Amino acid sequence: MARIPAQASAAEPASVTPMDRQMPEIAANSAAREVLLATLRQRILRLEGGMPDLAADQSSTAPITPWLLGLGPLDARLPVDGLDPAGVHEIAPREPGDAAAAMGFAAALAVRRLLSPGSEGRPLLWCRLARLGMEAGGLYGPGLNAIGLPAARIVTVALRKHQAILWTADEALKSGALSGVILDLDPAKCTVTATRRLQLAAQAGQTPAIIIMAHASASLSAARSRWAVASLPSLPPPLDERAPGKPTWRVELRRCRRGKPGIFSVEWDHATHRFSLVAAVSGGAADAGAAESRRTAAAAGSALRLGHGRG
Amino acid sequence: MVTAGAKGMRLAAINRVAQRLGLMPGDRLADARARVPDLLSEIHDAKKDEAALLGLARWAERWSPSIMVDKPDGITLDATGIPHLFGGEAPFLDTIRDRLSELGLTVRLALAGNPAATRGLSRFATREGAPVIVPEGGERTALARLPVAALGLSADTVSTLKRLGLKRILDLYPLPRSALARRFRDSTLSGEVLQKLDAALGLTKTPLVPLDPPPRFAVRQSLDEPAITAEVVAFLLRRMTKQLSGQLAQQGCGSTRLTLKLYRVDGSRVAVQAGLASPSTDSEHMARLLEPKLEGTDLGFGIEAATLEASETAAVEPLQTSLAEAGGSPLRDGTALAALADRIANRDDGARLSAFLPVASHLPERAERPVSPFRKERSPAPAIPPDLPRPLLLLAPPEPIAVIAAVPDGPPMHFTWRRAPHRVMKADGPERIDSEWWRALQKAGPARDYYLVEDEIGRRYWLYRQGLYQEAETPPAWFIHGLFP
Repeated sequence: MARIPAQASAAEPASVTPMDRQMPEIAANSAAREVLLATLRQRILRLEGGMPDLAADQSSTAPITPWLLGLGPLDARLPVDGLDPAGVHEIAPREPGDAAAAMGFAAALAVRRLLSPGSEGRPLLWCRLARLGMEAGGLYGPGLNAIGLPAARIVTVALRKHQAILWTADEALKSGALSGVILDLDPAKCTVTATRRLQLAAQAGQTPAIIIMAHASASLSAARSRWAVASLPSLPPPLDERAPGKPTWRVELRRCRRGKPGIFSVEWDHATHRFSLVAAVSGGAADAGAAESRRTAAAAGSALRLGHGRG
Repeated sequence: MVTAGAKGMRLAAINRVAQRLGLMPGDRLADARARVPDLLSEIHDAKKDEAALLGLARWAERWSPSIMVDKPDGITLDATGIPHLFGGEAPFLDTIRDRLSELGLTVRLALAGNPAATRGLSRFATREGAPVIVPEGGERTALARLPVAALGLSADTVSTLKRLGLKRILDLYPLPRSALARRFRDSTLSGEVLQKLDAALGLTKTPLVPLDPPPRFAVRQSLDEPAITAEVVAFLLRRMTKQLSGQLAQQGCGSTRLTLKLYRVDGSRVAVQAGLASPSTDSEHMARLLEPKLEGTDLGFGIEAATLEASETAAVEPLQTSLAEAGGSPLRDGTALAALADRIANRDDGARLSAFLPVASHLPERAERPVSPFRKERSPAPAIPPDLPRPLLLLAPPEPIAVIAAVPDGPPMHFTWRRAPHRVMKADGPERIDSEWWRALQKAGPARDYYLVEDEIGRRYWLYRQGLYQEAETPPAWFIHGLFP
């Protein structure tokens, strides 16, 4: 799959005609090349069957809030309409010791997902491998609350085999009863076929799936986006130099359909449900738009709590 | 069939050939051998007989939902309201006889107004192959010529009655009840005779205690040709779930447990069950739960009939479908979630959906418990203030770690967990969590001091020290209890 810049859907012609043969002539003209590229992108999208024709649909549907991360530089790498809310997203720890960080990032993504409309009242399913609960610790409700993901909206299931996890995730995605499915998976089981199946199920149920890999892998995958997460030393809170601050991660967007890869050092604020950039580990990290972004996020935060009460 | 008695081996049951040769049940095996030298004998196993009878009774549930096993050799069906489905009483009994004869069994059938009369008639009034049907209220005449043993009396009572010259039931009719009682030494014997007589004449009601309580909701389907593939059975299942859901919806009930009983051609039965988390009337959902279980079911030589029962039901609140379908209403999603939960629960590996229920306890490992996401109870307010650090992953049980601390009651400087050394760069704490005094002290242990620590690469751990340095002679133990993201 080709990497396509984020501006792809900005200018799309209404009709698609086979232009492959005209390519050499038009290539010289840069404006015409833009049109051609946009057309081809549109065609690829259709072939992949994932996205509806945005240009055609905009009139009929209400404006949708995209699944974005609420951090400008990071969101610029994602497609303009955000992460695919009917797609599979894959998160791997950079090293085995970063498993908790990967889960934290997955939870943060889920929080951002719960913020977007359409998920009210619907719980989030977290499929865990029973063995992992023993080795790496079990999911802890107060800890989920502490990271901003309301535990009351989480439903978990512990399964013994990878096969059962794939089956359960497949069923759960197709059911459309959930606002998202998070699943643990071993990279050896995360084959193209498996991810493709999940992707189809996600499309069928219009539900996103977040796969948390046991460790990083370079295998092929049909996931819409792939991330690698590692822990970073946190910035101390203002009053106590020696205390740990907010959870801080090095987040690498390895691959994203219609997006651009990139590496970011981010800090997660569980109260405002927002990421912020951490400029340097040693220095102070007050980025310019932080105050403004915090204000808008506060409104979003109250929306999430409202959903929490109903779910 | 022979059985070992007090005076040697005796015949317990014989086949028709032996009967023709003049043998009788109860003869000594040695005598029988003398008369028929090439007699084949097997040890009689009463338990196996009983099991076979029970199996046959379960199979006979295809004809009536209410069945009673009448040991050692009878089955009583409650035929109320059933014969008309087969075109009348005579065709009904003929069907039963034909089907049982096909299985190689000899059958004696009787149909009467009460179980006691049916029992006597089938054993004493019928010859093989000719069912007895007693018209309504005709028990008195029908029973008249039968021996008194037909009342189901004990052997003692029967012999007493014989000594008194009361050989037939007919003889008991003209006797005044008090006179009958006087003829016996023991009032219990006369009581037994009167009670059984009343029961057989339908003067007292004898309740039929069925093998399984008949379900309120059940549908049945019979096939002309036995089905040998799972596909055909699945098709049958879909038809039955539709009928059953119609029945349930009419009564405002939903099924929480479904039982599909398949009757095999060879006279055996197999049952498949599925449980539902919340009462459902959705026929599609019911079929989807049972269908996967058909694949592993042995259909034998074919299935000729099936019943689908809602073995457990509960009331459902009617759904305003038109309104609920308008937008993704939580109510509608609730049913979709229940359907998903059922599909997961009915898979073989025993996995269940669970939700977190906060528990009012300060001890981290007791601060929540898993519950069904469909619980009705309200969750209590969590005991943990929201701004205290709590890990995303909780280790159960906490794992011991080796720690170097700078000051006795301060945070650790260095710790080793699972053989990996970690240098603590930042620490937050302590948060003291004391044991709950109402629980035994030795169970909960001394108070814990929790620290949130961060190592040199930013990984965060939740450590605690159990006890204080100055209190105990041995240094207190350190544990890791959780991981932060």
